Amino acid sequence: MREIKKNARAVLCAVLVMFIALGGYFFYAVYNYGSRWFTTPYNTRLRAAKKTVIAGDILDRNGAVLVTSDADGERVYPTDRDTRKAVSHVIGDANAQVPTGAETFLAADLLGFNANIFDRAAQIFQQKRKGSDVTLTIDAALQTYIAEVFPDENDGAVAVINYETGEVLALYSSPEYDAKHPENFEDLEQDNGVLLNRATQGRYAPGSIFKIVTLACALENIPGVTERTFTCEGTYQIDEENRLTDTDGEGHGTITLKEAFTKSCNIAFGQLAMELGEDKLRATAEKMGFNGNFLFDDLIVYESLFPREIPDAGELAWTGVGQGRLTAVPLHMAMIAGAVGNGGWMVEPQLVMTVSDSAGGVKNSLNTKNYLQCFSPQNAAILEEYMLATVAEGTGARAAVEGHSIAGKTGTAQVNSSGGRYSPHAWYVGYCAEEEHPYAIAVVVENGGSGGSVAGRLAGKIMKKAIDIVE
Amino acid sequence: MTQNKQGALKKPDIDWILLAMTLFEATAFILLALYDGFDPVSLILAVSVPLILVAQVLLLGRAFPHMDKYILIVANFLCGVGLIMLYRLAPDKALKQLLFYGVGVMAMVCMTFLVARFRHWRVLRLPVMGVSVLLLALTLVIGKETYGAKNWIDLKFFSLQPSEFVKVALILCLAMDLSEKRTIGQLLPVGLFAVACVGLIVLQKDLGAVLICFIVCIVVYFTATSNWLLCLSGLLAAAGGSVVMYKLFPHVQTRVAIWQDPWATPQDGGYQIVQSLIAIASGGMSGLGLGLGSASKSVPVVESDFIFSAVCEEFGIIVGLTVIALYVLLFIRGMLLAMRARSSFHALLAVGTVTSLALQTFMILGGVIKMVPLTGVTLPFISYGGSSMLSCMLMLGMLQGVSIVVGEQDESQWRMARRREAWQP
Repeated sequence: MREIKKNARAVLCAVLVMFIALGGYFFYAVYNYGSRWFTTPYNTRLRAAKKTVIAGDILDRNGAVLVTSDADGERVYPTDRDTRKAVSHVIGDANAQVPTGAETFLAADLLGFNANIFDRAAQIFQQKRKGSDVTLTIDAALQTYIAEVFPDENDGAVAVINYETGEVLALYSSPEYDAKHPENFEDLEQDNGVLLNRATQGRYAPGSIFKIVTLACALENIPGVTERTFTCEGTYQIDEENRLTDTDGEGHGTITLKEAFTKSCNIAFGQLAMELGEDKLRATAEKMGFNGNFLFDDLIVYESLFPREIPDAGELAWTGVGQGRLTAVPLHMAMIAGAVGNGGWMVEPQLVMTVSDSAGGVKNSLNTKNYLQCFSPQNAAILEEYMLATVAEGTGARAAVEGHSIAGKTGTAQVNSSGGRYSPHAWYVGYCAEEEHPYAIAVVVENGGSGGSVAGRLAGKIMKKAIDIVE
Repeated sequence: MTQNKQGALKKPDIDWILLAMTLFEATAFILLALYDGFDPVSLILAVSVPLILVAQVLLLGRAFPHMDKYILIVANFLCGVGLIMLYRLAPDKALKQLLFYGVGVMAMVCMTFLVARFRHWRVLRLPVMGVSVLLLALTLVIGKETYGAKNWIDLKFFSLQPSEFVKVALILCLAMDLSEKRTIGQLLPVGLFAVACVGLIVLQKDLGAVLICFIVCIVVYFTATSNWLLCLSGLLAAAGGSVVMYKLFPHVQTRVAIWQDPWATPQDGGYQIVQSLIAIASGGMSGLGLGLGSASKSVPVVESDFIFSAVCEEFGIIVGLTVIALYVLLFIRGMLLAMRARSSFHALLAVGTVTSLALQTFMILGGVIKMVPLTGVTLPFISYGGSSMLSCMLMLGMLQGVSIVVGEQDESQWRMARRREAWQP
């Protein structure tokens, strides 16, 4: 009998463990994924709610109305077509065809599902309820300016954030669509993923902007690496089959690490990557959110990917300079650049500034959260020095803004599609290293050509505008 | 109330708990009565459901003072939550369920009486085994198939799911034989019976029931013999068996794939789980309010397997967690009975019952929240279903029978100790 008693106790313990796990998982899943489950396009409640609730307005940070509802509950967009199109991917659409847009992802607020019990009780007696108004951190004027200067013939994306608070100031994706004419969506979608928000969901080869990660990894793992010199002859034979080449092929000669970074020397960084090995490189990349799982409160951001396995030295070297099977998401890249300016800390991006319910209550939704420590403060300082030099005298010269200290890195990502060789993607990531203007930016122009001359120039204009107009 | 050693409830506590639960049930039904035009049927339920609860506690409590009132109240309250939810989702099904509930209470009383008072279990052993195997075999022949499993017998006015009752028979027979017999030869009949049950249910492709029966066998056997090695190899064999079943049955493969990523097929395969998760998330912490959710329209089989999603949507995650906590309370009380029992038969009976109920609860709750692959079993006491309700009530009766035996044994021993004390100088 004593045995049975002991065994029964063991069984009870097993049962308790099972149910503690169940309760824990339940709470964890709902806490982390609940809002995502709720705002999927498959939630019939949202569509049903639109019949009884007049959805709230979406405003930009300066109070400009980006979407509102008329008396019947139909969505009304700004009359200015340029603004409407410029903010199209941030806003989304009324029918959840752009499921990552604010219209869908913030539906709980817009349709008043998040109202407290008393409000909800009061609403039962009203015929048609009114949802909450949401003010975004987006600056519509900046966004419209970006749409204006972005090359018409190229697709691509721009993300601008405040790297100290995490506020997202602009998320631009080209080509745009016109939310006022949802009937065109089907044609648009067949035409090259127009409804995709490339700033948060586009996965691009990063090219040389990834050298920020390789450099950070070298600073962490190779003592005295800053004192090293490299000899670059334009090409480097890795093994019998693989060769590393530089874009202009003539070679940089004997250069320091800093020069290798500012001139974006593939030979030096490829060699560094091989010396570091894939594990260390991956560890550093994952510290910055590669291969992660972003669960931000305000917006859906796809994570950038570092390959799970790198089979040979050739691919390892090319990974170190941002080619190979790496992919990068523009907003994520802006967050990494911002982390350099923020002493190594990446903050969580925020899209919602305030939520004001129909009863007049205003909830401040801004809440700066440190998300990942990407770099130690010392390494962040070195990276900043190198990135400032890149804009001052290196490949990023065209991103300079007169009278301001700008740090950045360019990238020219080779793309090989099955149809033949295309022009490379032009990349630029960087930030303004001033306390009054803590803005970070990522620009990618698909098949735009050289990162320095195309993306860098564009980033310079946008940064100047941001410094001028954002408050 | 002479014994308070194991935390038996004192009178005032019971009154308060009963009052709270009665109020909860009554207000819920009154709300439903007023929600969409006036509905007198709901008012009848508002009186009758709490009445069944109170009557049981008062009458049965008086007839059997050693009944475990925690278990009784918790199980009946869960039935009440089920009835409220069902009445909101599908009123006609709720009325049927009320009938099953009433029959179930009677079945529980009978089972309680049998376990507590009946001394000639042995006679029943072979007939019970025979009928169980026969029923299962019959299901294979004339059963009807739902959701890929052939586990129902259609009796025109009433559908019977034999595997539910076989669970009860299996626990009884295992407890009976393992409590007194030890040699392989003596254990052969019950062993064969267990193999026959599991085998026949496998043939029915009712994998949830297979898993429950199999693990109940292993756990009861382990409790009786402390044979770690054999039980571990049994579990390993089960793992191997699952892999074989996975390879063999396409509908198992689909289920696992859906579990891994329901969002990949949100419109067809993953529809049910996706809608369940959306319903849970829509309720939030405090719920949308009774009658205001829409799980009734969006989640398939919401009244049986997926009733927990509807509870979470309308009552909120807090109530969802409370329901989980109530189940845990019930299992703890049941297992404490096993630990207090003086005869191995009663201890094993309690262990088997709690294991079966706990496993079933875990499997369906875990399935509904995408923690484990979905197996189509019901949520004990809450889900709609006559067979399920009856078998759960029978198990409740077994626990109550054990409680009475244990309580009476404790009391007589306490008396003897008092008497001995009185004689000591």
